[in-house]
Amino acid sequence: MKQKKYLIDTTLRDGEQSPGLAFSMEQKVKLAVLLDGAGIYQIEAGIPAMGSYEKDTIIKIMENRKNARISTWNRMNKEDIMHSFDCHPDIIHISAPMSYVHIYSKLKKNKGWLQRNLQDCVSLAMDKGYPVTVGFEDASRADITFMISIAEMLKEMGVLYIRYADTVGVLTPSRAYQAVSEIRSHTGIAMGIHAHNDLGMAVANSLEAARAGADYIDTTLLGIGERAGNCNINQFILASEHIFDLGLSHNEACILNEKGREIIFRNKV
Amino acid sequence: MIRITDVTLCTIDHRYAQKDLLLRLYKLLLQTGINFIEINVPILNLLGEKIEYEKTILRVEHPSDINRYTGFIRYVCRHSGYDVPAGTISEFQINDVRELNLLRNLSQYLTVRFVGLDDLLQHDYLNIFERLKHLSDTQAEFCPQNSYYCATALAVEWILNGGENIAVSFCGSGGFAALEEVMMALRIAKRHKPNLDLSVLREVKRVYEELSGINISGNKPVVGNNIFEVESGIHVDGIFKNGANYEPFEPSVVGMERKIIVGKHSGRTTIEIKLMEFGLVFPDEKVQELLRKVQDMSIDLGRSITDQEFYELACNLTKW
Repeated sequence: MKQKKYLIDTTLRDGEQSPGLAFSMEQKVKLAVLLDGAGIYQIEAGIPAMGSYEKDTIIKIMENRKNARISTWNRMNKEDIMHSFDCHPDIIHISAPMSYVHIYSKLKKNKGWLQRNLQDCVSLAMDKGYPVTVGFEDASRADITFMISIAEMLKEMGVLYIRYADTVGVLTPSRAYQAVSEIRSHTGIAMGIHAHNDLGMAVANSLEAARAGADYIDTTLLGIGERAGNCNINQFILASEHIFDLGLSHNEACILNEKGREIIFRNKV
Repeated sequence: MIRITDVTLCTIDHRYAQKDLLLRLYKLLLQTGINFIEINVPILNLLGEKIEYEKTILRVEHPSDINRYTGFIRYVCRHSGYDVPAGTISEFQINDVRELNLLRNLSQYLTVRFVGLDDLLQHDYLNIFERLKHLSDTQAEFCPQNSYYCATALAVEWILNGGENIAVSFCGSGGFAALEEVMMALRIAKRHKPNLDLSVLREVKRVYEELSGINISGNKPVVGNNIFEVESGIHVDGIFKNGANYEPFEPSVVGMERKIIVGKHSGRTTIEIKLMEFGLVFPDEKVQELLRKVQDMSIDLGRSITDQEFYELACNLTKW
């Protein structure tokens, strides 16, 4: 029997960050209905902190939702999470920088600050009754022992799963396998993979992470996303459907991609 | 030692190819850090004597052709049989890992190339790599194919796990691992040729597009026109502080430039950077209003807004 894996679609969040794309409310709602109807497990609907238009859009997506779980993406700060409360999503996702280049160089903070702030943010959302997932931003350039200690803390707090994010797309398949295996074996926490295609290896990296024990796979329609894009849902399913049960066949994913294309590029004709 | 063979020219339909463009692509590909370039006899007939024999591998249909076209560094031949001259790469197509069991004895071949194995990542690929390396007494070359979108990853993993020879093509032309992706991945993961100027890829792309009639997508890894465009407020802020925050490599490495664009996902920092770019002195209290107008316009248009549109919005707000 094939192992069950779950697709998390981030077309409406990371996908929309493709250079040049800007979805209207109508487009996002239509895409969410399409993804929901196709049996996608979770839809990352957007970033409430972007403003009232985005919030109204996510609320509309929630109203139209049938089966898929709807999540919102948040930076690791309380204001962002409060914006998410206004949308009443099923899951609150908090993205936490993990690499030293992000913690020390970009944010000018330290690991202690990250740990405390992450605890505060996770608690804020969980105290309100929201299931929480945490993204390990720039995990592919981060210290594995540090990530393990943070993962242990999050598991104790009751976080649903952590997402290993190859934010700049520099992961290789064997490193993806090794990192996911190591975090899983030391903490037992459930994991997801979020791959970028900067070196053309998003599908392979996601596949290897899944083989190593990541149960949640981030994909986008047509592989759209920041820079060279994210893991293409259609391609991932083709590469992995012989070993995993994804709840969606390759043929169904092809149809989904084509219907998605019509909505995504409605202004690009 | 890593040896990379580029097979792009063998994937191009020579019947419609212009000779000068072919020659230009041949010369450009040799500057991308590859060790050898592979051509076939029809391409050889078009390129004539202008080729560099010491860097060129000739693909022949039959081993007897080798005697007709002398002087090449190597020859590659499918179904070559055992009696081939030294320097001939015998090529084997393996579409499925189960076919490996049929390749028990390759020790009589001096050099072999394994083509295919698209589905290798669905199996214990590290173990299979070891089997492939030990099937032949001498060098094994791997030329993974891409029907499962994993060819680049397989080529990179082959090298990272002790393999030395791979065959690739520009932008994965013909369904192979993509030359530019493999070069960049090895540069990052293994520091292979870390100082090589890869800006030549811009011209390779231009000539390849003209020659093949294929338009390479804007988000194609490493060479796509839009891969260094950034709009998201969070990322613009991070990239402005240090490109390494959100980019896998410096745009200049591949002859490109970072471009900050404005639209629905822009934040205040993006607007301020863009105003600076235009040299506009803009009242601080109106930046937020400008941001809102940019976002509204972007949503209405369903795309990012152009520099000209941004400039006009900014000017209208201050009534210049």
